[in-house]
Amino acid sequence: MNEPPLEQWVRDALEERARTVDAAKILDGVHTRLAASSPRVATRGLRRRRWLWRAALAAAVFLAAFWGLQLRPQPASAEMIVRQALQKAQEEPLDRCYQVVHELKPGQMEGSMLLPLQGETRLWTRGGRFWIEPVRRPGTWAWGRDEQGRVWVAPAPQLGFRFAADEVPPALAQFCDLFHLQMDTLLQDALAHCDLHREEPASATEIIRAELKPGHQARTLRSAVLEIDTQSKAVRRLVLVRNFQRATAQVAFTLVETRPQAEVRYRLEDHLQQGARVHTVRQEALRLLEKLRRTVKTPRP
Amino acid sequence: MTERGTGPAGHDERDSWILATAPRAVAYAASLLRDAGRAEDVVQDCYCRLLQKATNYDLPRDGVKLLFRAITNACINLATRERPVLSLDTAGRGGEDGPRYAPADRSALQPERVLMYRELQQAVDEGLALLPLTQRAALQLKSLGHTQQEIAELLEVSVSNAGVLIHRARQTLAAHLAPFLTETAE
Repeated sequence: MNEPPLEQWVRDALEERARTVDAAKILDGVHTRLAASSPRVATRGLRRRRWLWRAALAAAVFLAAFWGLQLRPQPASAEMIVRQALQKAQEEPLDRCYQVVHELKPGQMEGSMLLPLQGETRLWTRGGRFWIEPVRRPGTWAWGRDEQGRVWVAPAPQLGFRFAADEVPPALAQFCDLFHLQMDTLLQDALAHCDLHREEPASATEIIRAELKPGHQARTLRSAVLEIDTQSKAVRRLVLVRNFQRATAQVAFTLVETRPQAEVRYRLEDHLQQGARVHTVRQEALRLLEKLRRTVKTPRP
Repeated sequence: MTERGTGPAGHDERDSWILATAPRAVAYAASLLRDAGRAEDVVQDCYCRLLQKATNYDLPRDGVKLLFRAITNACINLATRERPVLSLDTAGRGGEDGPRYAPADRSALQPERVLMYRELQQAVDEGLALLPLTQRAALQLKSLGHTQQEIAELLEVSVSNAGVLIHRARQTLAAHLAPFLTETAE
């Protein structure tokens, strides 16, 4: 008997699918994405130029040493270390995952509207987008913000709430500010508005303390402790004290991984089961969330 | 569709290359992910990453191979999260339980042949869904004409392991398609 024509059948099945694909739509999508990321391309060009300057500088230093000049390296300042970390943050992949631990004071959970906040959580972030889910039971709940600035909450895989960017309830917006981390923005704020102090470096980590300068405002940031890898210049851990509900709250972010994520991961639908109910009208969503808050015990940290 | 081993050079060529390779790339990703909407997203993402690093690669020579490698990795990463991947949007875009892909024009075939062909396609589709993702990828890449060596590179496994993946995939699929195989033999 001849070899079964399995591969031919598999190929036919694949071709059958391929015939239904709108290639022009894919091309449009690629164009849109490439256009959106063009600053990165420009940055890459700049980076290349910067590399050339660095090479030139390195050559100059080598020549100086060759001619007997004594060039003693000065210890890097806190500001320089943060600048290097900022540069690293801008160069690294956009999607970052952090393990998040928070310390909220009694009463600060009010208005959390069933946000899944208990225990350790995991934050995935890309620019202004993010989603948060529990470390121990991923897939049971999540909340986040998508590319359109819409904030969504999925307290269970069968139920979702989504608010348009201009309809996000203030309490929910505050929780977004507290738990979201946009590394480059944070480091820029620290450089512009904070006094920076460098602690004695540990084995492989620089520790920088940032305190808000008197009279300055840096969004919600009050103070920060940054742990920066000496070699890679990546910020490995941050402990932030942020303004929250007329007081402060502390949130610690530990970098877990950087890995490209599909766009859909930042959307509500990706965290729901098929057939789940999604409420998108603000009043209706708020009414239901409030009802749920009353009937379900709000998770405590 | 573009033959294996061809890739883009300039901008026009780049667009032509995308138009030529996208159907098969999306079909491959959709088969791995069992979700057409997500597959389109993954494929667009892979094209972008590839084109942004175009200067690092010889895309005219290795474009298709690199694209399929990127898609394979992205799909495996997505699928191995062991999370529910059902999407509300996908229901209308050809998701797992959504509308099936439209059949091609089979008017040249006799009605009973069309029916049998559809049954076979559905059975192949169901059989592929039974396979673990790496086996499914291996068999599909094989069906697209990739050598065992290339499949090993794409899946980042040894050549012998790639052979095992293909063999097991064929066994499972053959068992699932036994009635059709018998008809073919007859």
